[in-house]
Amino acid sequence: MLAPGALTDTAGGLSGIFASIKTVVTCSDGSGCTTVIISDTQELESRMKGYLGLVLLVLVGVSVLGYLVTYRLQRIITDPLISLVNTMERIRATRDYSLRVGAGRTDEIGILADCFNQMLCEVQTHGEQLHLYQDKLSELIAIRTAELVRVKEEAEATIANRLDAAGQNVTKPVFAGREWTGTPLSQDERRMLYALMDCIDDEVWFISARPGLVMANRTAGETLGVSLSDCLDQEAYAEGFEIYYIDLNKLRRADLPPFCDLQGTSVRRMEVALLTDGDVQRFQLINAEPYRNREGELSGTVFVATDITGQKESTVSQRAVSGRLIEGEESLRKSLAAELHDEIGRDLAAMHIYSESIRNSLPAKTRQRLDDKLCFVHNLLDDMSCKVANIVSELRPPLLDDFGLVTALKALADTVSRRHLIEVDLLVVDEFPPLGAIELSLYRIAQEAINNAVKHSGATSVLLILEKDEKQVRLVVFDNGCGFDPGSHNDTAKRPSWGMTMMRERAESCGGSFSLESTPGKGTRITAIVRID
Amino acid sequence: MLNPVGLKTRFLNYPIRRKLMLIVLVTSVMVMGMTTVIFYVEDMLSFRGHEVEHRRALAEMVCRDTMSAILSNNRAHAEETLQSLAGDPHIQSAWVVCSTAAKYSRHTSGTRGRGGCQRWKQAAG
Repeated sequence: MLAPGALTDTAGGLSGIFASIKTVVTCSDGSGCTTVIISDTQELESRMKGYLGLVLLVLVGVSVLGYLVTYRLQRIITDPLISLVNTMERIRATRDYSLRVGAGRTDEIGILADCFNQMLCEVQTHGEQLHLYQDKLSELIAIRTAELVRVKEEAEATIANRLDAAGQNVTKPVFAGREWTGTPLSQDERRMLYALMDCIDDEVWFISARPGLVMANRTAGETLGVSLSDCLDQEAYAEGFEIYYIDLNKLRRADLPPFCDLQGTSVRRMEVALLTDGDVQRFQLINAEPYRNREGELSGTVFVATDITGQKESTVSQRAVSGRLIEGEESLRKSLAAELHDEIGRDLAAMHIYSESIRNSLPAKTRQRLDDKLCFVHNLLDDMSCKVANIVSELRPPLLDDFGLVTALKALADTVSRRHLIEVDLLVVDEFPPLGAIELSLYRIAQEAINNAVKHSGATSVLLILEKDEKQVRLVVFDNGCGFDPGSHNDTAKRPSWGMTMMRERAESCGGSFSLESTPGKGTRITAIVRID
Repeated sequence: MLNPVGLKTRFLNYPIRRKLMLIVLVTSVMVMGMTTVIFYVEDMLSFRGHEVEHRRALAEMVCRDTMSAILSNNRAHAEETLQSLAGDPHIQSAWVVCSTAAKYSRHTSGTRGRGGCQRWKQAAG
């Protein structure tokens, strides 16, 4: 019997594939004869080399063939796309919207081309309509222009005829030998103007665009330190009007009206403070209105200066009274809170203790019988204690005194949010050092604004923003409630607004301002700005 | 140095026609190359296996033929049998070894055969 021996190569790895093949066969019949044959792998090598050449040749051939086929087939996809791009480029260059992309396919590119063609069609239609409207508009403008020119010529002819008929019945205001700039006035118009100026108690100034030419009524003339008899328009005076023509160039700078520099500016309304010769401060409200000639050039400006010193004094006085009222209210709140806390709170606590003591001293049977009622009394006392504590807190928030405005506002926001199940957020933009007395005003304004949002607007979200700079503190309260028309709100006959008034008074008593913006259905924004002294 | 980001940007900026051709060509060549390599390796291993099987069958035949010569101590017959392997030009050398580890008969062909024999001797110790 023969048993094949192990076939082993003389080398391993990839190089071993091309190494010699050693074959060992041993006879297993006891003779111990072994046959060994070693053969080379030349045939394998030559075969593999042949294959390698063939494979490379096939790869090159396939690549070339693939390139040719791909080059041909990719045009099916890319040609329509390139056509689309070329058409778009041409449209962009020539603005010719009548160009179209070749269609006829139903794939995605075909749909794209169809949509693009449709879009072009719409653009072209709209463009044509626009041109049509433009032409019509041009025609209309031409017709209207012709009509206007005709009407203007007729009007000018009519005026010329009337002027010819009236002769010298037209005059121009003359001052210091120079012609007054502006539209010539008829005698009647001039008299009307003089009458108007004469019957107004406020200062009325017509200041010409030419510097220094001024027409003024009596009240205005009296404020200037000039001899009024020199400036009086004698012709007007003869007709019963007291009108003055004043040359401001002859006045000292300090004597000029405070609004002379406003000529040609866009300021229409301003308040000025004046110091009279006796060092008495006066306030004026200046209303300015420029007027122009036919060519649209500025001829001059009319100024009406109203003395508002009395109003100012009244406002200051009113503010002082409000401040005192607010102080009194706070003082009253403080004493009331102290009384409630010290007297009622103490009594309630004592009642609680005594009722507990009574309950414990009762015989067991009686206690069992009265237990429900005693529990009710206990709960009632607890409830009353809570209510008193809430009232005390609202009357005089202890957190405001102990921890400052930010902490008190946070507590207020939390309390309102918890009690009314709405979202109340506080955003503090900067760090807040103690601000003294104005903290209480800001807290009350925030408290009133939140209360209004909860009670009247049905808001579900309220946002408080507190920010501060070097000179002032700004408190803004937004809510997303139903809003209202502030115009109708100001009409106190229809709807009293004590809360708003108090907020405004509180802000103004601290030298600040208060504003309210609201639109029906779009919430309310309240802004209080308080000065830091 | 090849910058992958730069290459990608360049490729993305190619016209769509060139991009499409590159994608199709690269995919085709990769598939073709992988198929070729697999075929090549498989054929090589298969061919070598056949060669080994062929040599083993040949060795078994030689072993059977020379067994009687060894038993009758007829070295000339054994060498004659081994000389018959000269017909296969890829056989470099062949031996018949008896149980006493003495080389009883051998056949060697050409320079490559001697080299192969030398390597076998070294491997056998």
